[in-house]
Amino acid sequence: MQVCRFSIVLAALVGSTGPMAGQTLDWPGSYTLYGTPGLLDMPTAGSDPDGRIAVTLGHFDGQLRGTITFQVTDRLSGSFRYGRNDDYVPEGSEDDPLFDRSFDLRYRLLDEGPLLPAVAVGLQDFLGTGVYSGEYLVATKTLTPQLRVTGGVGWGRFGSFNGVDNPFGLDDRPVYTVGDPGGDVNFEQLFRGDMAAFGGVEYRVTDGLSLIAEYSSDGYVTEIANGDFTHESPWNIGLSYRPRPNYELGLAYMYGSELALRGTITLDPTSRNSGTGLDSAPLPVFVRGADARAARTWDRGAIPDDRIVSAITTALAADGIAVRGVELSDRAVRVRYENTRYRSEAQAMGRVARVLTNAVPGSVETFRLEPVRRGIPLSQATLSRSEIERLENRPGAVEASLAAAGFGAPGPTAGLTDTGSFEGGFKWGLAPYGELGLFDGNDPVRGEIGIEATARYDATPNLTFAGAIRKSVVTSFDDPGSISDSTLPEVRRDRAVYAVEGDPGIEYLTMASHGRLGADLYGRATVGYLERMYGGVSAELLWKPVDSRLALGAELNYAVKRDYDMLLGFQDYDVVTGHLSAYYDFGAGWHGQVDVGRYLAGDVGATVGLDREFENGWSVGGYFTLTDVSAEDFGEGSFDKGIRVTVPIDWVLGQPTRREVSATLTSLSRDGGARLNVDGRLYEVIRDGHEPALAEGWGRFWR
Amino acid sequence: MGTVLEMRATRILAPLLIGLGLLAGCGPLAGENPLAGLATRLTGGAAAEGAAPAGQVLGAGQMLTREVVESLPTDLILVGVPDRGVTAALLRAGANGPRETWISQDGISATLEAGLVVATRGFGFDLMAADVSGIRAVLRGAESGGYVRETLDGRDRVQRETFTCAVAEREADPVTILDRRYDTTRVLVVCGNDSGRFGNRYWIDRAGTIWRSQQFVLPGLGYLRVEKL
Repeated sequence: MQVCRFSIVLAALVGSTGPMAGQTLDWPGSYTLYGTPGLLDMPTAGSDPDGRIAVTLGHFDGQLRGTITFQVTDRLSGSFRYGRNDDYVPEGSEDDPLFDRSFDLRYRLLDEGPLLPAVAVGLQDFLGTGVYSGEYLVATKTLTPQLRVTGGVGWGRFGSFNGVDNPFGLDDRPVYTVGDPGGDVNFEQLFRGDMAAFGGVEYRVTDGLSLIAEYSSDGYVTEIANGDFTHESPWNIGLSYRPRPNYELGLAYMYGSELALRGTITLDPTSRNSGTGLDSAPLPVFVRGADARAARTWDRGAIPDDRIVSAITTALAADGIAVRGVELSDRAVRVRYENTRYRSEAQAMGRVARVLTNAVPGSVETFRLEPVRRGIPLSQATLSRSEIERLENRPGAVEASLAAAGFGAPGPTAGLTDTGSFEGGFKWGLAPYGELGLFDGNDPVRGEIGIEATARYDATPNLTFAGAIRKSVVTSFDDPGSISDSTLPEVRRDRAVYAVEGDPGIEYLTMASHGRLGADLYGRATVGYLERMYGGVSAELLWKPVDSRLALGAELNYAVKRDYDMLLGFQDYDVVTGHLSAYYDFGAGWHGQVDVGRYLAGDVGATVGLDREFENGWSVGGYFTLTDVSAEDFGEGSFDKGIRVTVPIDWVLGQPTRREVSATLTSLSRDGGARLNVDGRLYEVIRDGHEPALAEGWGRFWR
Repeated sequence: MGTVLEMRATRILAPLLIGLGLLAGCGPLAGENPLAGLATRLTGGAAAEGAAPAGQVLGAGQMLTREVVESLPTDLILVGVPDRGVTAALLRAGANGPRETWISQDGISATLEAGLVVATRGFGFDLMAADVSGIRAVLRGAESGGYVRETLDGRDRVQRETFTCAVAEREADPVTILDRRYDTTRVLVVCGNDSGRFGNRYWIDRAGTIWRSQQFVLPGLGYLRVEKL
């Protein structure tokens, strides 16, 4: 169960020192006040290194922008922004100051060459209300190691100063009216309206310091008309200072009237401060002599089976691997185990294999390893002992050992000697938690620190009772704010009320059962207080062959809305909700999911998600949900969409652990397209032990 | 050495703790809370989690004497990381053909083939595998030889690099290790490729035994200094 949410993610940002020596770029570009690769307010054609996350806070003259930019691929990047604009609507009106969420996309069309510049096309705020919307085509060329120039043309915001008529004759660009839901793709705006030119130069004074001058084509027309924005000049000057590779500060004098400040922290999921991690060294492989290798059996009088089983269990327990069952024969050993320490199941397999070379008699040539999660045997990996002996510490061992391994369905439970390592019974814990709420209505940042008491009773490996209660110590979730009107039932809109009134509150209190129902079929049933806002019954089926990239699932829930005090009572709202899901691992780290079904408000539709997953456990992705709720009924944002990030804790700490934290940033969480949160959904339980995930993480087999 | 590695972790963790002002958790499930785990490790961890053993049981380098070494039932090597200013004693834990793995009680290992480092574990930045046959040939008199190194990058993908090595210098330079003097020649082997070069030093006696060496492992760890006791 996830205990803390954003806190670790933020700490990771602060704690990371980023790329290692040897990865420094020639002259890394800086970021705009919009948090995008660029000059000061205008973009360049530069891109970040693949996978980088850049978090920027920029401020000047009534403009406050917090942006997260992710370099999705080598050429494509996307941004999510939360902005406060003091001048967009007339002072005193209901929406002043205006808080706004926006999304950007950028694509580098051409790489910089000896003669040609880099060229990029960008869509800013193409999916939000359109407050910051603008499109551009921009070219950047490094002329000398100290001098870089940029020139481009823009539309929308970037075409609002000294513009010319649209060259394509598309002069009509509808403007955003405050109060409209917004949030659709702004097709009727893209590359329409006036076009204007912008540009600038960057001059590198030292490795960490650059001077920047730009000519901005943003006239801040609405801000001047409705607020007190002062636009004296299109020329902006500033500097970018990078005291360390992952921290950048910007200072600028903007539009002839205002000072601007900016800070950017960059984070590279692809590099790790701790190298491969501080995991202790594995037991070395024991290599058999020729006689032992040739033996067909062993003297069970001298080495009884139970002594071997006990040796395996004890050795692996020291490595955080609980052996559930062992089957020994003359030529093969089968071990079923639960890895509680290593994020990578492949790494745990490597550890089990090495212990087996030390523990089982020489005649045993085949190792069959069966990882278990929540009581479910996930798969069976077949390894050749001779190959393990031959490949240890040899270049090419990772590829060769993966090629020699076989993956299939786990064997039957019958035949396994129970090692007695399953410790059922009652466990409890008391620990601090931290929670951060970002971009909730007009409160951009809210937080809470408190104490969480958890309890768990494992009746069998497959059947668990679990619960948690939280009491805040310091909190800024003290005012639920106003709940906006909607024609939909309040299924998520009022979640802030739970945060305020449910203190102390029962986070969850459930009975959950996980099991294997057939060859490739898994099942889950969960009953109780499933999450903060709903209780009920949840049942799930998943079809997923061990070697398949595709999985299909079905989930059916009966959910009743809980009382705001988060104790045992319920409100007068219940719903049958459920989904059919398809999951697909495209390879190369791309992972997709489609869910079709009925959502909490009774609306019917589908959610599409795509994530970029790195082998080291990081994942960054996005999703959107379209249902039969109209944009007007949905309210601001028109439909549910967001980005999500998962950070593996071993990446943060350097110590082996299976913990991870996930955070989702939504454009605005409302009632349409809302799903139930149930712990232990099958796909995430199963997939790490299946072939595609094992193969992707095989680099750690020998770690 | 364990202490220093532990401190590295602490340095990484420090901002977390400052940011959150943590309390340690209690109860068996509290360990599942990453925050609680952190606090435990930092308050009691360094002493409790096996940072001391190598030093206490075997003694740090300066505490080791020839008598202690002779009295132990197993062979020992001393491995130091000059960039981190630490040294530990490693016990022989196993052999795979000509490759011997040496391991410390706090979970650090180095695998050597005829005295040349072919793998490390537990250092954080680790050498996953290496082919040193070319360097062995160079030490025996060949003009040049290859060196292959495999590491894991931040995404857990294998990175393979190939270098070409040759002897750059040979000079008589006897060494004394724990009161015992060896009549050795210091051989400097320089390996390089398009992206960089490094130099390894080996102190080798007439029989070809490497008694002392300073070998580059990988960026992030730097050199390992190895002494055979």
